[in-house]
Amino acid sequence: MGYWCNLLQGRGDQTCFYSTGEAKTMESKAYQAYLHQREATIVPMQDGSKLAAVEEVRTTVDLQSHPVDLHVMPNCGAECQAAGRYLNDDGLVLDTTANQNVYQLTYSHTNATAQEVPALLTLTVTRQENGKATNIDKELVNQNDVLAAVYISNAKALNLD
Amino acid sequence: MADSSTKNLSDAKYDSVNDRLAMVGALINLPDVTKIEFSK
Repeated sequence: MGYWCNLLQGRGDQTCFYSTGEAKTMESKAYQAYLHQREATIVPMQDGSKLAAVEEVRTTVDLQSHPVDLHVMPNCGAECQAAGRYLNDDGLVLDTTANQNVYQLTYSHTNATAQEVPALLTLTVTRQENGKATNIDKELVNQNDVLAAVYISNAKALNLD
Repeated sequence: MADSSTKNLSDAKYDSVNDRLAMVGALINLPDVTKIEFSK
């Protein structure tokens, strides 16, 4: 039960919707696909279509040369909150100890009303003590350890529009 | 190395097509940051 938002850009007219657990029927022609994010979550993502068009990215290895975005979809009570975990390694290493960064991500803002937009949105990034890529120069595994953008989903319902 | 980064919320843009608030700022190395704040 809760809000879900489609992360794939401009597809379908139901970008975000509230569900009580009922089945949803959506068009599924060859060019139609959906990727829904559940409320209270934070997920990393790269816009592969844009990177392919602008940066000539062709493979998943190519993606490692470009920064990631975080998509935050808060769940609101008195406070709006979301959380997630992000693991990054080179995709090849078998022993991830000291070769992988593990981030715990939490987000919060004071629940807004139409009259009062929150003044502060806070995203906390905590690397796990046993999740640091200390074997790697500057502990940057690749450009996937760099943040490009933060998106807050379901912004209209949260009065962030 | 721990640090925090503050971004100006006024730079955020609402994207009505995707119903999301987009905050696209300077690139941040995640290993170096513990808190990212977006404030007015």
